[in-house]
Amino acid sequence: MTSQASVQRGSDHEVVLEVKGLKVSFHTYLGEVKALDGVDFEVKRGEVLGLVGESGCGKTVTALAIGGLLSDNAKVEAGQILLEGKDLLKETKDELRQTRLREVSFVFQDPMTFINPVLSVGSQIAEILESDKGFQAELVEYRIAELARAESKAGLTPAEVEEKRSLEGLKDKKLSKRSLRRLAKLRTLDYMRTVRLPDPERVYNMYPFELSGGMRQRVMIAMALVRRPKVLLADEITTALDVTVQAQVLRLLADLRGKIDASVVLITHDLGVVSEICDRVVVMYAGNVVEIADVEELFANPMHPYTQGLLASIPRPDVFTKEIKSISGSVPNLISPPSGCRFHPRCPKRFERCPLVKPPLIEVEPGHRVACLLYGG
Amino acid sequence: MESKAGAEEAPKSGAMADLRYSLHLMSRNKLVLAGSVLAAGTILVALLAHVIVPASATVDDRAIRICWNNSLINWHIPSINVCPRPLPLGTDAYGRNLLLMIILAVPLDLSIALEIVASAVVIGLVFGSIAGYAGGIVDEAILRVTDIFFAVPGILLAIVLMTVLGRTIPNLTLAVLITWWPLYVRLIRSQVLSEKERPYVEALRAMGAGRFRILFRHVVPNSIYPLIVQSTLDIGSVILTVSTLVFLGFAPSNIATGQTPELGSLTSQGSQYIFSAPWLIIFPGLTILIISLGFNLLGDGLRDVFDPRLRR
Amino acid sequence: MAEALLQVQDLYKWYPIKGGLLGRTNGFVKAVDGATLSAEKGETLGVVGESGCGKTTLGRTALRLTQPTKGQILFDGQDITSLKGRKLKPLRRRMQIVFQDPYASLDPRQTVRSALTEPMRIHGLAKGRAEAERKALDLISKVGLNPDHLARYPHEFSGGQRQRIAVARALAVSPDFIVLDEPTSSLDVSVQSQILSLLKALQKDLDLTYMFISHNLAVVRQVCNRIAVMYLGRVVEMAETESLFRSPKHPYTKALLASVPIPDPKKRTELAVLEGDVPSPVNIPPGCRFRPRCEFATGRCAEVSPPMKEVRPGQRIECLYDIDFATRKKTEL
Ligand SMILES: Nc1ncnc2c1ncn2[C@@H]1O[C@H](COP(=O)(O)OP(=O)(O)OP(=O)(O)O)[C@@H](O)[C@H]1O
Ligand SMILES: Nc1ncnc2c1ncn2[C@@H]1O[C@H](COP(=O)(O)OP(=O)(O)OP(=O)(O)O)[C@@H](O)[C@H]1O
Ligand code: SF4
Ligand SMILES: [Mg+2]
Ligand SMILES: [Mg+2]
Repeated sequence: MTSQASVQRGSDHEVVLEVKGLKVSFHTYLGEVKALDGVDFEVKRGEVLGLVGESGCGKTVTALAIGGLLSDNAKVEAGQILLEGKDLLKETKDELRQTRLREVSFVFQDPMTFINPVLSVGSQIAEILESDKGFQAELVEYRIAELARAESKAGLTPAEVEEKRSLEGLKDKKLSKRSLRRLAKLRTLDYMRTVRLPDPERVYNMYPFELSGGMRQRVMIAMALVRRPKVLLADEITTALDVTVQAQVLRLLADLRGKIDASVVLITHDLGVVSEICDRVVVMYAGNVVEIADVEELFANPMHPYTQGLLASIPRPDVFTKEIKSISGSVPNLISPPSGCRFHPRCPKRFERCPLVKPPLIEVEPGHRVACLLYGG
Repeated sequence: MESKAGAEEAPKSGAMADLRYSLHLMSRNKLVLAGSVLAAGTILVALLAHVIVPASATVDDRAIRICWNNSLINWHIPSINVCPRPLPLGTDAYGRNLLLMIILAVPLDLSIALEIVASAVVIGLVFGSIAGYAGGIVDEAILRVTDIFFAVPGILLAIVLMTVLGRTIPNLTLAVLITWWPLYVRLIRSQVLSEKERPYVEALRAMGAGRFRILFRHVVPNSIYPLIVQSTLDIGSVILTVSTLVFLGFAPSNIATGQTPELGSLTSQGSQYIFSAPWLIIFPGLTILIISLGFNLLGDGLRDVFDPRLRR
Repeated sequence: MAEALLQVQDLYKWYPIKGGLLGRTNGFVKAVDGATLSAEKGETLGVVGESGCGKTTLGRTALRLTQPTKGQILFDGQDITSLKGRKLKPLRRRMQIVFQDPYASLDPRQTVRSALTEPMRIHGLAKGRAEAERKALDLISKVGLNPDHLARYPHEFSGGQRQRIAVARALAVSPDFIVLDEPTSSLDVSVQSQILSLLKALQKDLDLTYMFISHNLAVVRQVCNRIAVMYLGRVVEMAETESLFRSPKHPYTKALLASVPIPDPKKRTELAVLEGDVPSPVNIPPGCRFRPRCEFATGRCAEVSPPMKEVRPGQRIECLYDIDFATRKKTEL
């Protein structure tokens, strides 16, 4: 049932990030929380991948593990996290920090925890560009390109002509502090325009507390984008926003696709959000990936009983459903998770083998993988 | 109904785990552990003091006054009296065993402190909860009164009171209490203020529950943990204050002279002999320090244990 | 036409903003600013709107949990706007509220048994312990929990179970009217539908009237008979659920509905984007309060504050125009 477009997406695109058999547990006073129990998925270049599941299923832990940001009581028991083939789990703390800064960026639900409250938002973004030497050449090239564009359109003022000439001479040399500042600011304003912050010149000098929730989220996205990451991990970035503001942010993400070279992993518990902008979806339940498919395929043909239950139980804004279906029971506690298939106590289709065997993730149809014993394993 | 919620898995019933966790929180900090041991030891000594120490210990024996006979410490004082028999902490100015006198002083100090703290808690509970819950003018009035007491240095107030009222133990208790209760009113008030904003209070109001039911059945019991922490911390400070007052001479004559042993008076008596017999001031003083340190550390530990952020 | 159980007429609730040394009032948070609506016996009235638009304040004021600044509240024909103290108590038995966060709305030191029997004690609804216990057992099974849950404390339950307990407690006084303030917002999707079904079943069995406050339009569509859409403290549109979803008439409702992502990739469209954020309820724009964000605004909108008008039978809006959104044709109302 896969459409033409998604088949192409499935096969042509190379894999940027691959998570293989990731197991993470937390040590707590009540016991070992087996938060991730073999998580497998991959992120393809340029795609928006949705990571969905209910509260506590391990979405945030997965993201934190990828970024090497897990708390001290966490332990990675097994698995690999391959970023363009190199295993992030094998890197030392310092290497990982470098990788994370350059290649994986985060946007979180609560932006205030990641924005410095006493610095203006613009200077915080510019700071990233100034602090890393790797960006210097890019800043110069960007400005030259910008001037060239202006030249072809309306011609340059003498000052700008002079600027362009001197920049061309500067290409491979170290920039002075002042010109670095200026270029970083210009580039920052451009990024602020990209994420559609209204009136960037004014917002540049504003402090985080002066911004609304939606604007802060945009600042976070801009901050994540300036690093030109390969993967952008966005954890519940619209959850705290109003629907109308959520629509603005989702629209922005949709528009950015293609304009930026990052793949986006969009973590959410809202299937509406997933269906709106994701290309592929990873469904998680209690620390396991239970199903992976293209978004149209997943919604049209959910295979895992959990996905089926979840899709049936979400109230839809577009139609009235006489009877609201639900999955009985609630999410299990991960200190003593159910044996075999972790979903079996709530599963309407379980059979004798379910409590005994942990179902592997099997490709049932091209690009559609399920971890359920009904489909073999 | 479509679902059997009974089948939902509830978090494990937590009494045992809770207790284990409390102990874990207490024990993970070495200092807190030490504090608990010290505080427990103090209470034990206070309870058993009159059993351990024979009545005859308080009888004067001028023949052996101010002597030392414990080879572990050499004071390097040439004119030191040597006791006829080994005594761990030597003797005091009345020729009594100093160790036993310190032990006898502990229950007196501790009971005064407990009385003061307990009364302050009760007063705090009553006025603090009324102020916090009623708000408005009542709150304002109670707050201003506490302000007056906060403005005057506590020990000064106590000294004035003792001078006016006369030097008796009940007056001493009263004097310290008067300087102490406002703290508890403030504490309970702020606790009640934050607690009454919790949604369950609104739920109770919606249910038709009256003010007093809400306040005394729900809000106050839920405000009690910080109170326990504060009062534990305060036992130590109150002992320190009481013994300071006694040290300064604000005590009935039998105590002030050290006849009836009390830690402050023992210290104060000892201060006369600070060069010739330093143990007389050092050991009672050290005891005061250790006891108040013990309760302070215990209080810190309890704060950790009750801290809701560490709880869930 | 069914009888109205709750009628709210031109209700205001302003919270003063105190500031400065002398505690002067520097302005007001106009949380509810002239809202009018009514809930009919036996129906579920939805109240939707974005965060901070005054939904909770409206619910709380209607229940007289806070004193309204101005306006009138009628419950079952009786004017309850200025009832005080003891006179409110019989009302408390007939109206109840269930909050968003079930854990915070239960006293953490109270067992389920005690939480369920306390309202009976307050209103003298059970003679003696035995009857209270019998009633508690009845309630706990009504909400789908077990008798042995009665002895437990709130922290021993999952979120969904706690919300069941909160519902049971609200039912303990056999009320006629319950305000449900985002009763499922803190729950997982798979549990949310359990609670929604429970609420529906209870309404049928016990003949309850609900005021269902939510920001989740999908949920509201499934459970409400009629819906009031709030914007900055006022009800800007009120209609039967299906008419509202099929043909919203207020530009705000239209934009709100178009912002909701639909969980069906086949229906993927550009999400309509309403520019800007909700303005602060302290400085409400003059004229129509939606004007700064409204794509259909005219000069008149800045001057005239639109009154509530019926555009179609049963559908009322606070807008100066009846707009055909397809052709963008405006007819003055
Ligand atoms: N620091 C930690 N210590 C102990 N357990 C943790 C810690 N962080 C996460 N967990 C546990 O790991 C599991 C997965 O948590 P995670 O935060 O990844 O869930 P999530 O899918 O992001 O949920 P949500 O939708 O609520 O954000 C949960 O059971 C959680 O309790
Ligand atoms: N007790 C109060 N004192 C002062 N301002 C208040 C108070 N309660 C609410 N407000 C303000 O009134 C406005 C409306 O709040 P209300 O809680 O009714 O909104 P809401 O629609 O329920 O929002 P949400 O969806 O976030 O729950 C907000 O701006 C809020 O800050
Ligand atoms: S493996 Fe069994 S229990 Fe798990 S989802 Fe499949 S059928 Fe249900
Ligand atoms: Mg999370
Ligand atoms: Mg609210």
